Amino acid sequence: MGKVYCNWVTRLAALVKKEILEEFRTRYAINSLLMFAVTSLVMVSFAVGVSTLSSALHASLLWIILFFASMSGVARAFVKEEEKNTSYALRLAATPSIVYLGKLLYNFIIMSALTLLVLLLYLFFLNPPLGNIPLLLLVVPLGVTCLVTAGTTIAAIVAKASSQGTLLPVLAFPVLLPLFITVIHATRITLDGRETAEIIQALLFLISYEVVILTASLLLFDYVWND
Amino acid sequence: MTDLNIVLAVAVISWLGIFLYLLRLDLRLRKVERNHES
Amino acid sequence: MIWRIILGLYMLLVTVATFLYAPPALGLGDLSRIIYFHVPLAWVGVLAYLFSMINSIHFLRSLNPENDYKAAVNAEIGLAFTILATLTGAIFARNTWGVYWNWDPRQTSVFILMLIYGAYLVLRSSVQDSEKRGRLAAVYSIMASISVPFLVFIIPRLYSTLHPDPILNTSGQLKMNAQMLQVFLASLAGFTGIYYWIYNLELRYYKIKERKEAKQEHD
Repeated sequence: MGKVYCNWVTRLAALVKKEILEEFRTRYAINSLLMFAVTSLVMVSFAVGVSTLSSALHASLLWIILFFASMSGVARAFVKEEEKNTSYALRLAATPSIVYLGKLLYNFIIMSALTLLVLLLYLFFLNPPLGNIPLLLLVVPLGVTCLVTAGTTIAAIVAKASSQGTLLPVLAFPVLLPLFITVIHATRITLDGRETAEIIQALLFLISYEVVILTASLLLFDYVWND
Repeated sequence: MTDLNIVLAVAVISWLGIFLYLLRLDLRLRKVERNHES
Repeated sequence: MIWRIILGLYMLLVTVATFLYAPPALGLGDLSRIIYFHVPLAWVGVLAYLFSMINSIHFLRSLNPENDYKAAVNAEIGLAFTILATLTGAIFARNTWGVYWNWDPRQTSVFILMLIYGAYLVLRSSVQDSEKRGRLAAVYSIMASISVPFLVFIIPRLYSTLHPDPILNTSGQLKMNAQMLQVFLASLAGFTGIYYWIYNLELRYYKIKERKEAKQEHD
C-alpha cells in the first residue's frame, strides 16, 4: 500500500517537474502573464486616476484582473499538449488523475506567483485600504485555489473542443460565479477590516466549493482526457 | 376595448400562431413516418 | 393526435381565464397576470435543465448518441423558455419596481441558467466529432450544474429580494385566492404540456433522421 502511494507521488512530482522544465525552456507563459498583469493593472490605475475608490470597487477590480489573468494562464496547460501532439504520449505515461493533478499543481504554482505579483502591484498603484492583512492573505489564496481548480477542468474541455482558448472565459464564468460572489464579498469585508463572523462563513463556503469542484473534476476528467 | 382586452387578443393570437406552427410540424412528421413504415 | 387539439383548446381557455377569470393580485394590479406566464416559463426552463442533466449523465455511462441528442434538445428548449421567462420577468420588474433589471436573486438565478445553456450550446457547436462533442458537453453540463446549489445558497444571503414571492407566498402559505390558484396551476400544467409536445416533435425528428442515415449507409 505504502509503495503504491510512493509510486503515485513520484509520478505526480515527475509530471509537475516536466511542466516546470518545459516552462523554463521558453518562459512563454510566465512572460506573457507578467505583461498581462502589469498592463491590466496600469490600465485600471490610469482609468481610476487619483480618485479614491470604495472597498467594494477595489475588491471587484482585483478579482476581475485575477479572473482574466488566470483564464489566460490556465488555458495554456492543455492546449500546448494538443498543439505539439504530445497528449497521446502523456496518456500512455500517466493515469488521468495524475495528469489532472499534475496540471493543476503546475497551474497553481504559476498562479500563486502571479497573484502575489498582482497583489503587490495593486497595493503600489491603487493604494486600497488594508483593514485586516492576515485575513486578506487567507481569502485571496483560497479564492485563487478555487479559481485554478475549476479553471483547469474547463481548460481541459476547451483544449479538446478547439485548440483556441477563446471559449474558456465564456464556459468558466457560470461555474465560477458562486466563487466570485463570495470571494468579492469576503475581500471587501477584509479590506474594510470589519467583523470576522461573516468571513468565517465565506471561508467555509470557499473550502466546500473547492472540495466539491475538485472531487467532480477528478471523477469527470477521464471522460475529457481519453479519446 | 380596454388595454386588458388588447393584451388578451395579442396573447390568444400568438398562442394560436404557435399552436398551428407546432401542429403543422407534427402533421409533416407524421407523413414522413407513414412513408417510412409502408 | 387528439391530445394536441385538446392542449390547443385548453391553453386557449387558460389564456382567456388568465385575463378574465382570475382577479388581479392585491396591490399589484392587472400586471400581476403576467405571473401566470412567467412562473410556468421559468418552471419549464428548470425542468428542461434537469432532463438535460440526467441525459448527460446517462450519456457518459452508455455513450448512446440518443441520450446526447436528448440532452442537447432539452438545452435548446430550455434556453428558449428561460429567455422568455427573463423577458416577462423584466416587464413585471419594470412596472412594479421601476427598473427592468436590479440583480434580484430570482432574476440572477434565471440569468445564470441562461448563461449555462448558452455556454453549453456554444461548446457543442465548437466540436465536430459527435461522440467527443457529447462527452465534453456532458462533462461541462455536470460541472455547471454543480455550481447551481452553491448559488441558491449564497445569493439570497448577499442580495435582498424584491421578488413578489413573499407577497404571494408567505411562509409556505399560499396567499392566492382559489380562482388565482386554479388558473396558476392550470397554466403550469399547460406549459408543461407544450414543453412535452416540442420535445416529442424533436425526438420523432431525430428518429426519422437516424433511420434515413441508416438507410443511406445500407444502400
